Amino acid sequence: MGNSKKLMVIGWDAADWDIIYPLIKQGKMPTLAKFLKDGSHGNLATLNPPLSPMLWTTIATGKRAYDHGILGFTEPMPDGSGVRPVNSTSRKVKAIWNILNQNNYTSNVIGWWPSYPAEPINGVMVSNFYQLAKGQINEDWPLLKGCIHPESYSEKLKELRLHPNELTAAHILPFVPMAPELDINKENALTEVVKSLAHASSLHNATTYLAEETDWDFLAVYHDAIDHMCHAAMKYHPPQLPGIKDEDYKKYRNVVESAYRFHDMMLERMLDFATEDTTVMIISDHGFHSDHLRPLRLPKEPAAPALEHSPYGIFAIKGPGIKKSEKIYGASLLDITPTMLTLFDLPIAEDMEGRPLLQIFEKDRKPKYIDSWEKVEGNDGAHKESDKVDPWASQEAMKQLVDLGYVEKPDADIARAIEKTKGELQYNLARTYADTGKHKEAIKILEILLSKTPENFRYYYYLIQAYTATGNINRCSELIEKAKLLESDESSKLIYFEGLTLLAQKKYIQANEKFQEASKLFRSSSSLNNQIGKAYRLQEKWEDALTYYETSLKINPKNAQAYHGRAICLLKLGKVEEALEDFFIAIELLYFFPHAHYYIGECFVKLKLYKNAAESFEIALSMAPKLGKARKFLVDVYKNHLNNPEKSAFHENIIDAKNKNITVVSGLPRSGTSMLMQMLDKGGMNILTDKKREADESNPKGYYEYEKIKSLKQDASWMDEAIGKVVKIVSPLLTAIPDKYHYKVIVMERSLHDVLVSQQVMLGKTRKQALETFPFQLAANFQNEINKVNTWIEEQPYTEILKLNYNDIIENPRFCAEKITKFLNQQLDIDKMVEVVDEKLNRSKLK
Amino acid sequence: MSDKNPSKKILKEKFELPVAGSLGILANGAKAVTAWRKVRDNAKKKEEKNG
Repeated sequence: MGNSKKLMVIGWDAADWDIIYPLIKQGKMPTLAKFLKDGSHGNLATLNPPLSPMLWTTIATGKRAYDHGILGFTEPMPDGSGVRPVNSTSRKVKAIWNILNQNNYTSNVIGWWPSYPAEPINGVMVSNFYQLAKGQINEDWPLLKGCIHPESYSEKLKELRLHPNELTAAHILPFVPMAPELDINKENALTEVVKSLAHASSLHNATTYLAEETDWDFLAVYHDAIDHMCHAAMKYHPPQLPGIKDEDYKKYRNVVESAYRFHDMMLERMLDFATEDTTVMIISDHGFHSDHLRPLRLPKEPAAPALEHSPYGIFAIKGPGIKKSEKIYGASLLDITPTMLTLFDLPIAEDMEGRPLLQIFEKDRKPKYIDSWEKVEGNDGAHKESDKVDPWASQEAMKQLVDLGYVEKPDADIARAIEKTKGELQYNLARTYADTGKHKEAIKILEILLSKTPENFRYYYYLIQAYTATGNINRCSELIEKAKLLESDESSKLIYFEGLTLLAQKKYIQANEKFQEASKLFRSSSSLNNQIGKAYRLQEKWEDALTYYETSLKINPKNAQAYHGRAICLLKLGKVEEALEDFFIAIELLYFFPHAHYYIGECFVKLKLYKNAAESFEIALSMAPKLGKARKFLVDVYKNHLNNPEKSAFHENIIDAKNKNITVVSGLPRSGTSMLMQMLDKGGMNILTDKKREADESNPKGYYEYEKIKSLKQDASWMDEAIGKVVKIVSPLLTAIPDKYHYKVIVMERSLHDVLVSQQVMLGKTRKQALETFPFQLAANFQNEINKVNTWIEEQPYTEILKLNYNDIIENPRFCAEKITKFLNQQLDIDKMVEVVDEKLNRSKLK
Repeated sequence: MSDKNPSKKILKEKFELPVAGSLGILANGAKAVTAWRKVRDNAKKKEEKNG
């Protein structure tokens, strides 16, 4: 796609195929029906938490929330005076329109969430505050400063807004036929319908005007009317739910259907602006439960309406070179930016997690890659750095001013509101980490939140799940006991958590008892049945497990985990083809599912389809490089069935390298790493050192360093030399060690104060001088370094770590030497190791 | 809402709006809404003039 071609992106928040397909069948969405025939479409998997500002920013950036920085609906005001809706200035990375700006493309972006204040792009940006009505129809309705860029479009676009009071009965009747008989002041759902329709119309007016009157390469519009009308009226959507009064059902049963049909009509108009060279994409960020999974009640907590969202949104695309009538599988929100970049023939950044949806193209496309768009300089049309205010930094600055007495403390309620908002954003961040398996990061945040509000049940909910995933059963049990003391409506869920904890301890029978107990207390769910199935599966009771996976699928036919569990049982029962079918459905629903790809490979091996098997194992490894069993299969498949000894050797070498240990001694300089190296040397280990750095007063017995380590970040090709040996790698370089080896890492810990004083003494200062000129800034930097390394350590599930304290070694060298020997599983000379920790070092510490 | 999508019809008739206030007008965007407002405001003026 060059400058002569265009991309139009239409965002329909919460649109769901489960509602669309029946409407298409009934001929009620004719434009979309034709669109699907002319192009490709499929599910679009959402991310957790399914909160729209976070998700639409992921769609526009290709990054997860912990990278893009938009963490919720609101944020603290930079000056600490209150809380405001989340602003575009809080986004930390480039959006697609910034990247296009740098490549001389012109964009029109309308209503994207969040986009206020409008960014100074080439083209027009109409921010998400544009359509929000204020006052009565005859009152002045000014645009907020910064609402539209460039300012010159403000006057015209201001006129194109539609106030809810302008709508007549004829507009409303298709949604609520009884509207004339209803008192709008008493009918929340009716108010929401009127407001949403006016908002949609305002945005559509701005979009159609800009589409027609301006030159553009990229046009993106975001509509939230489907989401808002579904939140207002999905409970009244047919079939009538038990508990919904006939009267209410009659009033609002048409709202959801009419919302979709109105969007179909708007789509028809939008397609008038899509010339032959325009690609059009329709997307939603999540779906919306429209069946028996509609929640009967919502808990009283912020963002609770998100529980009505379902995990699959929609993706549809048509245009030149796009396959027709094609169903696509396994797409996720993270894939949209890479796909948009591919459409513009621009490189995808390696720091984007998604992949381009290449299956949509009629001809093969070979996408290009760069490290990151963040490093690319040039006018990106983003707010200037000086306009960006980090709300956290500003809050902290504000707090400091308050503490110092320069400004008054904000009103108690405002302060409480700010604290609550901060907590909510941190909670969302923790859920984002948990969603990607970064449980340690999630735990850190949630533990802090829990310490502040120990009565908040939902923190227990996610903490217990995270601790179960990391295997910290003791903390799980502690939390369950504490949570039992809370008077929460949700406390019956604790039995389910007890089951999860028992499952993690491989106590399958007891786990199942808890799950069965839980199933009597609350509505049976897919996840509960999946866990019961898993407990039976782990006992190799395949038939019993199958029953529960099937029940799970009856409750939710889109549950990828249930298909996966059922498929494993079928495979174990020898029903390979049936298993393969289920595994395929699992990856159609959730493409990023490495274990499902692995098992597909295993099925293909059983069916002697070795080429397909190799492809599946390769995909599994690309998603989970440490999935060793996939690699073992690849060695065999390439060597014995595909006549590809090179590829077989490649994987075999990786397995060999992983089987060979490298022992690493790490820590900050002057934390005792050289002493430990010497202990290991005397104990009988092989040391990798070039002895280039000679012994001196600071390290009278030598440094045990290896010159090549200094350039580890640039070149790690020498690491083979370290196999079977001990190598010293200081903390700042530890995170650069290549993934392909198995490591045992001993980390030396010493008080930061002692480390820094020792470093100053080494640099020629006396101890007294070192204490007088203690480098506080350096201490802060070192502390950051320690935090970074600790985070890295927690992310290494397959790297064994032993942390040793410097003072412990000095005070009890024998105990520590024995500990080291046990950790390394080596027969070392303990006496010689102890000798190393001589009085001289002890005395120098005491000095 | 009728089963037939009215938007195309309205476009063809160059915004000579057959039914004031129909959803089809909103779905047609800026030009249609501007034209509808004009018709609406003229009708209102006429009404006021005629007392």
